[in-house]
Parts: sequence; structure tokens; C-alpha cells
Amino acid sequence: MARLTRMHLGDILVVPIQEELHDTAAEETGEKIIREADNSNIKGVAIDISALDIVDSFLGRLLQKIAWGLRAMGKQVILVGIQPEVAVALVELGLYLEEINTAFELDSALEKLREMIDEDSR
Amino acid sequence: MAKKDDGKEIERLRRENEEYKKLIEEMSEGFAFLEEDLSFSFSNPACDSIFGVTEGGLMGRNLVDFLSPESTKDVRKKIKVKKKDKKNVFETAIKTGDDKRRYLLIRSNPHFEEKNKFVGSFVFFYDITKRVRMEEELIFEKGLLSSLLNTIPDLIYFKDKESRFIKVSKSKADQVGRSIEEVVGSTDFDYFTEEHARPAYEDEQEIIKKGNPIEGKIEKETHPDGRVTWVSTTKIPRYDDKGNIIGILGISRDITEKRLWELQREEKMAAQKEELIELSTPVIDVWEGVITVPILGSLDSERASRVSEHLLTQIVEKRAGVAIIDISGISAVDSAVADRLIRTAKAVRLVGAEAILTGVGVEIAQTIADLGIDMGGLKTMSTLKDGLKYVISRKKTSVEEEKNG
Repeated sequence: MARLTRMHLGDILVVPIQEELHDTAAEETGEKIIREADNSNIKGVAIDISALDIVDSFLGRLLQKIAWGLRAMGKQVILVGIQPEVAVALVELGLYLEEINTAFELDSALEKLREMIDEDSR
Repeated sequence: MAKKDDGKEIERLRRENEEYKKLIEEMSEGFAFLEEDLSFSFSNPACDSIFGVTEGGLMGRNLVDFLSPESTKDVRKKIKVKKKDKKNVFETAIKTGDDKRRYLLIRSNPHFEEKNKFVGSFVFFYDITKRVRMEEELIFEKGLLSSLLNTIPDLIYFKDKESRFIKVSKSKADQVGRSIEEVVGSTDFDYFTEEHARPAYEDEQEIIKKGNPIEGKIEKETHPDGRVTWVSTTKIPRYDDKGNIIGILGISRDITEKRLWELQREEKMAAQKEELIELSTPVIDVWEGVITVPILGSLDSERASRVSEHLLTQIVEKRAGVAIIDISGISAVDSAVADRLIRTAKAVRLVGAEAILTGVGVEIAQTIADLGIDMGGLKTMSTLKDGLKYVISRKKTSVEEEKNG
């Protein structure tokens, strides 16, 4: 199984998903992200999916599950770099991911995430 | 004793004579004896019927009475052969006693008495009217067929079971640049490239195997010199009189000009459609990080997805944080259109921007309410002006905050 790339930027965890994930590999990745975030120092997670050109219902639902899991643990979540084709596919699948924040790129995502964390701790 | 024998002999001859007479009378061929001047001195009933007179009606009449003036001389010459054992067989037309035109085959045997004196002819008459008529009809039909094949602009061809040409119209021969005779025995493979010849051959073999005709099939003919022609082709099976398929008959009409025009038009229309979509969904940069998409006309599903794609690409490319979708120019809103707008707005949010729907006038708002559509938390404003005001005021506050911040 491919190793999960991750970066810690202070209290923010950044996880870029580089390739299309299927079935068990995807499930494992999801679990790894949640385990990695299970650390009191981590306040927010940015999941970068800009490398994905296509998303099927399985992966779409997995993203939703990861976000819900992280939220349940009290972490802020942001999805970064959803491509137009991916956005259309998700909407067609009925996965609006309305409760998850989004951003074009990591830069603005980190900024947004910081705001959300600050608001949270206020 | 001798007298008794004579009596027997006479009796035998009489009986024989009776039998001959009976035979002649019952014969289906016409039989007559013609005097030297061609007058009838004997005829059997079949002969009377051929000449269209009542039984015995030919007595004292002359064969010449039934002939046309032109043929009289000829017939007279043919019958009056005075050489022994010289038979004469010929055909002629007559006009019968009941005014019908008939064709006869005549076989005359000259009859001689002592010292080779010609006294007349035994003549057989056969009615061949039916045969002559059929021949005439055949010649007539052949003439019709050949005039059809020689003049019709459509390409007509008869092929055998192996898809070889057995007869073609002149137009078909002209098409491949050969004479009609040259084309006979050749196949499509001799005139076209594999690209056309192969599927045409397969079509024909299918017809020969299954008997199902093809009608009005548009075919692209590719010539070895690179030329392309288009034809509309109908092919049907040909049967022999026992019902077995013995080949095909094909008719092709050249539609090259029409087809090229159609293709050109299709191409043009596709290009225009593309252009129309581009034109009808302009994406306008109105402010730093703010783009506007006015949607005009009707929004069918194909167009909705095009608009949506175009808008999303532009948002990502321009890193626009806000996208205003203005629907004041939309012609009608129903649940399907509303659904598509909502989907577009949600996709906009997913890529990381905010979508604002403007131009929701009284009518559209009422329709939406009537249809019971939930706009799903989508930010909507009645006019584009309001939308821009909202965006600008928000931008100002964030700029001021930054200054103060």
C-alpha cells in the first residue's frame, strides 16, 4: 500500500491525495488520516485532492465519511482543489458535501482554516 | 374365287380410305389440298378453323383471298415448286374469314401425277400466332428494358451469386469509365477501393443468403484515384422460376452533391452551435475575484452542463471567490431548470467559490414558490445590481478589516 504523505504545519495537518484510490486502499487511507489527526495538537485538516481528475461514488462518500469523522473529533476540515469535472461529478452523485468547506488552493485553504480554528477557540 | 378376293381387296381399301379420312379430319393441324392456282379443293376441319370459316367453307376459295397483296407473290412462288420431293416450309400472316390476324407456319408438298405433271400441293397449316406474339412481346420488352438501361441516370445493375455484374445500365458503365460489355463479369473490387467494395459485397452476400432486401442505404464510394462519391442504394434478391435466389438487382442514385452539401451544413451547424454556446454564456470579470455569468434563453440539460463546465473552469482559472449567476434573461423556469441552477451553484461551492443567484424577479420567484422548490440555502437576490452591491460591500469590509487588523 502506498504511504500516506502528510505535513504538519503547526496545529494544521495537510494531506495531499496524489492518486486515485480504490476500495481497501481508500478505506485504509481514510483510517490513516483520522488516526494521524487524533492528536490534541491538531486543530484542523486540509485534504488536497487537486490531483484527482475523477471521483466515483465510493471515493466521494469516503471523503464525506472522513470529514464527518474529523468533525466528530472536533477538528476543522477543508477540501482543497476540487477540479471542475470532479465538482460536477460529485453534484451528479448527489454528494454536495455542504457541511465541508472548500478552497481553490492550499494557500487560501490554510488561511480559511486558520480563521475557522480561531473562531472555534474564541 | 377371284371375284371374292377382289371384293375383299375393295373392302380393305375402302376401310383404309375411311381411316385416312378420319385421321385427317381429326388432325389438330390444318391440312388442305391446293390446286395449281392455289384454290382449295380439300380442307380438314382444323384447317377451316384456322382460316376462320365454317366447316367446308374453304371449298372453292383461294388462299390468295386470305393473304395481303404484298405477301401473295412470295407465297405463290414458295408453294408452286414443281420439283419432285421438294418441300417448302415458310411463315406468313393471314387475315381470317372472321377478320383476325393470324400467323401460320406452312409446309407444302408438291403433288405430281404421271409424267411429273404438277397438279397441286398437299399443304399443312400450323397456327403459330401465340409464338409470334410472344416473340414480338419479348422483342418489345427487350426494347423497353434496353431503352431504360441506356437512358436512365440511376445506376442499375444485375449481379450473379458471386456479386459479378451480368448486366448494367449505361450510366453504371459510365460511372466506372468502361463500356457495358467490359463491365459484365467484373466486380466492385475492380472499380472501388476495399473500403467500399468490401461492405457492398458483404451486403449482397447477406441478401443472397437471407433474401432480405436493403432499401435506400447511403453508401460512400471510394475510387482508386481518391475520388469519393455518395449513392443511395436499393438492392433486392433475384429469383429463378423455382424461387431460388440467383443474384441481386441493385439501383443506386448518385447523391454526391446533396450529401456534400449536407455534410457541409452539418459541420457548419455544429460550429455554429459551439459558437452559440460560447456566446450565450460569457463569463465576465466584474471585480477582483468576482465573475458574472448572465444566462440567456432556455436552459436545457445539455446547455446547463455546458454552462456549468464553462463557469467552473473559469472560476478555477481566475481564482474567483464569488460567482454571480444572473438568470434575469432566462425565458422560463421550471423544476428541472431550478434543479440545474441549484446543482451548478453547489458545484461552484465545491471548487471553492461562493455562488450567488441574481435576477430572481417576481415571476420567477412565484414560479419557484408555486413549484415548491427549495433553493437549498442558495444565496439569491432579485437583481444583478443587488448582487454586485452585496459582493462589493463584503469586499470592502474585509479590506477594512485587513487595514484595521
